[in-house]
Amino acid sequence: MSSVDADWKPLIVGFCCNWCSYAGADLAGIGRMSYPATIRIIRVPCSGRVNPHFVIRAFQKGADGVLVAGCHPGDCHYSTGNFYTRRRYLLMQRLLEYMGIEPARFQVRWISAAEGAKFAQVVTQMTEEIQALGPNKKLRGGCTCNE
Amino acid sequence: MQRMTDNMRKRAGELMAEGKADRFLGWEKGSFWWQSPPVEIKEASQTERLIWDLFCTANLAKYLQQMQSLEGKTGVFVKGCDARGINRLVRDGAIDRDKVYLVGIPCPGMIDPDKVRELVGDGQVTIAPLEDGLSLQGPLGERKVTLDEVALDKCLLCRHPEPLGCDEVLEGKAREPFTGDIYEEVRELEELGSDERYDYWAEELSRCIRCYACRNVCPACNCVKCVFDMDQPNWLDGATNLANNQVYQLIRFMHVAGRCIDCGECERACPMGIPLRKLAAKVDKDVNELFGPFEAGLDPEEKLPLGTFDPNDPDSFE
Ligand code: SF4
Ligand code: SF4
Ligand code: SF4
Ligand code: FES
Repeated sequence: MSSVDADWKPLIVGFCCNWCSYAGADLAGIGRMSYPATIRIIRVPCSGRVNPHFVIRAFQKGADGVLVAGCHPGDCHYSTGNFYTRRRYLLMQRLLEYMGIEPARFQVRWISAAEGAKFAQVVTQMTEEIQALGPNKKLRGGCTCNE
Repeated sequence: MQRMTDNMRKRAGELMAEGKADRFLGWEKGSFWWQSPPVEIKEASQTERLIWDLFCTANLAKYLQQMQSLEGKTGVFVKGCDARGINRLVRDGAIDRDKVYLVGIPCPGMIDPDKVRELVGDGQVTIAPLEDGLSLQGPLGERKVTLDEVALDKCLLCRHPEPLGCDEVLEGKAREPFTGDIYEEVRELEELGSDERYDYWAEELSRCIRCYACRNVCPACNCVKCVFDMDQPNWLDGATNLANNQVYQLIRFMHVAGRCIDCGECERACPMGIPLRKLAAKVDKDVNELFGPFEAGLDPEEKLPLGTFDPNDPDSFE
């Protein structure tokens, strides 16, 4: 593992479900909870909307970590969306690991609209884990449009 | 072999005469000893072109999908893995089962030409059946071997050499189905650390030229409009380099997850020798571990693991 510049902060792309995790993030803000400013949130209608391609593209275009956050299983606004999400990403997490991507870089969490504190804690923890790994160099680049 | 060939020609002729099939899909002898490519028999007078030997490796499922727009019924000869490929495509609505007549061939396993070359040299090779194996004659002389010594790896691991779901099955002897651990190679890779695994795949995938042969041949890749062919939105940049190749493989294997039948066609079609079955097998292993035992292509009405869920699925996401 590379030694990391202490000032370096990771860039985390967070796909947050509109009905739960996005509201959870909002609650963390309203509650003035502090957490590292490392996450860029992309609001999605349901965690089931998150295509594996989004995750891999995020890494390719410069994310050091990717978070998919949705409602707790059983609480999906569309009843079953996140059950499919769960299967899809259980599988993809393992496939990414198999390709050599460190597991900490891709995480899925269930965060409800009431769990502002959990949102802050997840981002803090993920930031620390990725900070220890350093900038992501795997799957990076390949396109000429952002370099 | 010769008996099976005769039988195929005869049955194809009969079925076409009876009107059960308007054309037939099988294999014919190619220009090289190691090739028996697919052939379409358009009328009964052409059935002599059909052959059965140990190089009828090409999976006919995708060829059949391409022929779906033709009028009438298509007869197809199928090995175990062809039948699974066709069941798969029927499951996805990509093949109309009523437009197909499947004639099964119990499969002994197919030959890996590279294994033969290693034994008797690279050049003109003749292969003759013996009582208990094969005689190979090549530039380096003659060798007597068992079929398993030169069979394709995927055949050594084949669990269904008997074709399933056919309209009829020709008489013959299939190899013994494999019952051991089909994921050994995957486990070996899983033992490595993240960086080592990354390097392994980076080296392999840096050779990919994104010819998409692996996709085109795959009976689990049947989208009429593939994401990799779209330019709006542009899901993948055109340049052939490591990152784009990695994105391609990760996404392709997510798309075939729970649908791959382990026919090994992707690896066979790959001109760059990339060990794609190690990716296919990884995904298959995880589908089985996470969501329970499942083999794709056994039943044309199967429920696909990623198209369904169980509220009690494992959950490591908290
Ligand atoms: S995978 Fe099985 S059915 Fe297919 S060619 Fe090999 S032995 Fe025959
Ligand atoms: S067949 Fe091989 S070279 Fe062609 S796209 Fe697939 S992996 Fe790449
Ligand atoms: S991914 Fe490869 S082994 Fe699996 S079905 Fe497609 S071509 Fe066959
Ligand atoms: S609506 Fe939140 S995960 Fe489906």
